[in-house]
Amino acid sequence: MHRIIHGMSLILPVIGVFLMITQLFISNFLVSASKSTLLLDQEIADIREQNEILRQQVGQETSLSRIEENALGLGLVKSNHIFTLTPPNVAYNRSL
Amino acid sequence: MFRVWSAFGFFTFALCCIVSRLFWWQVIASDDLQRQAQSQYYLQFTLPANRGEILSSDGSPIVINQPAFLVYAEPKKITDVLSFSKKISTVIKREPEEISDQISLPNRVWVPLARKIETPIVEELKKLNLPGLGFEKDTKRFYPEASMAAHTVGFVGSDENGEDRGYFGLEGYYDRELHGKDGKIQQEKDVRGAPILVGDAKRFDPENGRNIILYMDRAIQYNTEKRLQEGIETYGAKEGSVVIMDPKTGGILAMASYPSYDESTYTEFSKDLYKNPIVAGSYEPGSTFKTLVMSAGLEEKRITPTTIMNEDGPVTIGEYAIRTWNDQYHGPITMSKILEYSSNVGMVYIANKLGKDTLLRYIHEFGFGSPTGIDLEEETSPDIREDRLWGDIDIATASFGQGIAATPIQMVRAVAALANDGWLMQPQMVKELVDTYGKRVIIKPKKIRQVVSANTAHVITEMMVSAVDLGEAKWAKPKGYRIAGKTGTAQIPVAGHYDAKKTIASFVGFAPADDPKFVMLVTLREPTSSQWGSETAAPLFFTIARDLFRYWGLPAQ
Repeated sequence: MHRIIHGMSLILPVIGVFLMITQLFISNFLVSASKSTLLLDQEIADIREQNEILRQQVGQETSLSRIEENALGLGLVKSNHIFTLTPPNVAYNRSL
Repeated sequence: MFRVWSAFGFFTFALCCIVSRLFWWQVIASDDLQRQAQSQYYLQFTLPANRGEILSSDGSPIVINQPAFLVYAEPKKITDVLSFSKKISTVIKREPEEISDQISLPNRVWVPLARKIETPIVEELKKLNLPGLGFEKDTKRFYPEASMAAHTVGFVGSDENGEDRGYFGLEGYYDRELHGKDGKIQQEKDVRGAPILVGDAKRFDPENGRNIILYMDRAIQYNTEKRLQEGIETYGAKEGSVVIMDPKTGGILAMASYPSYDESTYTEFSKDLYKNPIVAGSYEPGSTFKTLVMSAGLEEKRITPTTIMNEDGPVTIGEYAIRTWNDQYHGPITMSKILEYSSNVGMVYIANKLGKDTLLRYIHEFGFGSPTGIDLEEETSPDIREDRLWGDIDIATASFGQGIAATPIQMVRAVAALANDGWLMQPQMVKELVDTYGKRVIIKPKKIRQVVSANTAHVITEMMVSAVDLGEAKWAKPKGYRIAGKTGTAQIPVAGHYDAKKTIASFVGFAPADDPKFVMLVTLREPTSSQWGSETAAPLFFTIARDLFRYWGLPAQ
């Protein structure tokens, strides 16, 4: 009985110190992880904002007025003379 | 003994003071202290929800969001209010006195200065490096197609709480679906403000607003607005509108009106322009209404296309004389000819054949007198007087579309029934709703009722084709296409009488007649080049129709 008590009085402080050191390491890890989380959240928010800006730019560049402006600038013209060559289904009437 | 009691009294008194002070901190001031403590060790912020986008039928953006900021001031951090106000006033375009008055109000720790400020302006403000100037993220609507479809879309303003709210058009009607729900994060933080991962945390993710996908074709809308603008200039009209609908689904392919406004700067325009005249403005349809009355006569078998009536002069009803539009009379004519000649006298004949009750029943069945239910916020419907208040002259004039008011959307929907085997459809702007996770809710086309039989619809279609081919507007019709249509020239009622010089010229029709892909109504108010629909609205209709045939690759028949 005396030996058990003596043994525990040696082991328990060691366990206590070990747990304290472990807690210090884990706390330290959590702090740096927390900071990383904060930075990641900020990065996500920044990327979302960038996406919105890009979507706005894409929308503007692909708008019909911009396409028309660019097309006219490239020399494309609107045709006023449209000729229909054949009505539909003519080829279906031909036997091979 | 006295000393013992004195000591006892003193300690009792001290105990009471301590207990009452504890009561104060733990009970009375508890809420306030909890809030202060939470603000010290809790990180709390709102996750704003993005407002849903409005997309055309091919997914092209009509309305999207752009990053914006709320600019605010923290008066306690500002050292020189006047200098601060002067520096930012030129950038945010407000009077410096106004800004300094706002900042100088007593006991203010946070003062909003401007909302919905775009990124380039915010960058300019940041360069000023002013202490006490802050920025909070916000969003703002962006219109890639500029002011296209302004009446259809509406705009986003603020409600009484300063929150974003849609007004008019789609933004108003679908405000709840577009708005979404802001989220929240509440997390324990350390002394440096970093979150404690194993601490207490609550997170409510934002629910972004749903995107809405329209029936509207972006290219058709763009082209229609351009053609309407050209038509207004060519024919010298004060106002005009064009609405194009798919008769089979009720889907609105394009909706344009003039004058319009720019929804991105709506405050600079008169409030009278905000309402969409196609769903909220009324007019007397004139001769375009004859197609509906004619179809009623055919459906009730009171007439056939070859029934003959004698158009030998004006018809007298009470003290009134009903004349043809050109005071020409052709003797014995068929019902088909009544439409070709657009004979008011002929229409009175049909109205008499139908009788008051039957005619009024068809007017209601075609949807007049009640809103169509289109998904736009500001739709109204002109009232139709009670049946018992209709006299003989009212029935006679209603037969050719005068003395009865309708909105353009009611008129185009009614004629669309003739293009859809007699089935009246509910007009619809939105085809689908899509949430952030991609889940789609399809809004199915809604059949209201069958007003006339398919056979009657086909017969009236042929009569309308004949009216286009042989009527007053035949000179403008695209060759090789079968277009069913009718011109209209309605006098405008002014102070209880009709003004002979002022008209609303219109044309309604659908094509290709055998399998209609679209039904379109064109209206021009007070055209000055000519008052007649056949010379103004009809050519504009045919111009847009040609564009549509080309766009869809529909060859001549």
